Amino acid sequence: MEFRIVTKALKYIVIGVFALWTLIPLAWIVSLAFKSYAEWRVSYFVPKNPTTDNFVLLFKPEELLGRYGVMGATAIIEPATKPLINSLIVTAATTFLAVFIGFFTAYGASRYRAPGPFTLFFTLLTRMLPPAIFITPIMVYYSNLGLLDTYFGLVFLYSAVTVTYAIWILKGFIDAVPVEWEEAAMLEGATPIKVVFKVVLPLVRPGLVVAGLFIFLLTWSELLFALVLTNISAVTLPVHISKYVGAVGQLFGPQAALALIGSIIPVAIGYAIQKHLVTGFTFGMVRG
Amino acid sequence: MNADVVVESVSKRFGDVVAVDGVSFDVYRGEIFTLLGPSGCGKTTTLRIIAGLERPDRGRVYIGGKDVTDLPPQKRDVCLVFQEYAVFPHMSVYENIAFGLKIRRISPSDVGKRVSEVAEVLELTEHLEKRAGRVGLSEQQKIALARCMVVEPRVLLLDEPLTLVDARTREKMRRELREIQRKIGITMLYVTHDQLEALMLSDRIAVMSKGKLVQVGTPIEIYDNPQSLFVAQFIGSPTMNFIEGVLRKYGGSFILESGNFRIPLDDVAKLYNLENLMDREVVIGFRPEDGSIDAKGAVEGSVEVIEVVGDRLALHVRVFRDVVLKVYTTIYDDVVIGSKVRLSVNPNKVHVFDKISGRKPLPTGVGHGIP
Ligand SMILES: Nc1ncnc2c1ncn2[C@@H]1O[C@H](COP(=O)(O)OP(=O)(O)O)[C@@H](O)[C@H]1O
Ligand SMILES: [Mg+2]
Repeated sequence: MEFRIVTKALKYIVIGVFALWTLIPLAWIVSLAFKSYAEWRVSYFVPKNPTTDNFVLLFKPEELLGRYGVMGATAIIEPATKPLINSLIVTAATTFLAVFIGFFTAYGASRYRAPGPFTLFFTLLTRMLPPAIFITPIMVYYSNLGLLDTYFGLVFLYSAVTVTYAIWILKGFIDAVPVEWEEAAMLEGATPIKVVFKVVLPLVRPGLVVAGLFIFLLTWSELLFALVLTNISAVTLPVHISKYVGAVGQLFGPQAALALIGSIIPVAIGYAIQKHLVTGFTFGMVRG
Repeated sequence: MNADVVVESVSKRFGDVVAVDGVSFDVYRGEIFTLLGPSGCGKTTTLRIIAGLERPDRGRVYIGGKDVTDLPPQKRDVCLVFQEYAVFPHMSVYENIAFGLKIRRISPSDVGKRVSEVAEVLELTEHLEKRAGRVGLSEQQKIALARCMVVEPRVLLLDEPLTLVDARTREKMRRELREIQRKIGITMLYVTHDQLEALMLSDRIAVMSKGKLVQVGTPIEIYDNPQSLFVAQFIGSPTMNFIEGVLRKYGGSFILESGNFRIPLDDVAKLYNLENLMDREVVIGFRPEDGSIDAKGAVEGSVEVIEVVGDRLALHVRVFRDVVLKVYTTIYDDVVIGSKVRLSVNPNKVHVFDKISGRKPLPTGVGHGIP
């Protein structure tokens, strides 16, 4: 009995520490986003004069100089609207493409031995290299191909990188679908493509959601590739955040404000698909 | 007769395992044809080759007179009822049965009509709205059957469809299966390892062993005239009595000799050409119902076990060191454990096999009814 209480207390302590560890930076961002210029560098948490200036300035960059004097002299000329839309387009396209291609690759890997186990492992191996290693050659290629600063260039690279995760997540789900179900459907008149769409796809929908969300989050927050490969027209949110640098230092307020906006979107999506997520993570156990 | 399925010298190996080895047979229109054999003898593989789920290494498959060897499953006009995993547990029973029709883009009203017709025949109507994973195992098997029946294939393939249901339901479903088949007149190719099921259900049976077909015939032919030791051992419950020994001929009389235990085989020698088996190891076999207690019988033994089977007694009689024979007698016979009895056997029902090859000698063509 006492042992039970101790383990329970321990559990809560571990969860509590972990929650603090992840939530404090987030709380700090919230705090910063509503602090005025004078309070950015002070250590108290609750702003004395809460303001929405930081948010307003995101969309009116021309006022930065007037508001912060020389501190506000930045390279920012664009409002944050374009990067927000860019990020949404690039992330959505990447997620769709990676999950789509990943699904069919995983299906092939699960049902046919053709690619061999190494090919599949190799896709994972490429993820183990630091991205910084291949960003320079990619930039050179992209420059020659005219893909720098384009949606296509970003989506192409992002989906190539993230498709690995889609393959590995979805293969587990597809492996759990008995091949007899597909065979039965075939004998009842379904062509192989219909079998995939009518039998397999509906069954692995939770897997698609899990893989999709995972890839969405990765792509949404990706900085390095976007920083190197974009300049003006395809700038993404993380890149845009990094541009709020004044003549003598970081503009913490607008950065925090944009980061807050940038985190609300994935949280909202996660909340909306919550139900699928739960079944997604327990799919293997539910089947039986 | 019209052959709906023709299997022609089909072979299939998986690595070093020869799963199917030169199998040929015809299934006629409207019959129930059963592949019978112990587990691992290649029945499922044969069925999957016919269904198009497995490619044969050699041989051809014809369905409805058409060579389908190179066609995919959905173009073969057959449907397979699997041993397990037969239903989609996440769909309703209705959706399960309707699946094949929806795939074919049949109009919703026709789908509804067909599904309720088939559900009626299989007594599934009350379950239509339930989730398929939630109904009992025998209902699930019926759903699997219904899914195939709605698409009206030329040939219905069934792979041990009754192994998962309990014994009582199994018996009931066997009878129902038979009735349904009669009613809709469909050609059925049935696979089972259960010889009683095969004998009850089939118009014809093909017995398989180690990837080969060893005998094809009606249930009566298979039961009454096994062509090999394997079939003799496999068919029948209780199994046949077997006596091993060496075939000898002393002064024109045929004798089965095992140590100093001897059985005269002159009556049997009239039916089979035994000359080729002379001085070889043979096995003779007869079914318990073909032996009887007879004061003039050729062998003597003592009763060891007595079982009451309905209005009969099954006697286990030890006639030699390790030879115990089972015969039936009436409950009015005066036997107790330890009684000395003499046994005789209907010579027309004695089977002789070469022990090594398992083969039966050729009949002399007299009185045994073998063509
Ligand atoms: N996909 C497969 N891969 C390897 N061996 C197989 C495969 N399918 C069947 N076999 C082997 O082939 C033989 C026949 O199997 P099967 O046709 O399933 O027999 P049955 O249905 O009569 O029990 C067995 O030895 C089995 O292990
Ligand atoms: Mg089998």
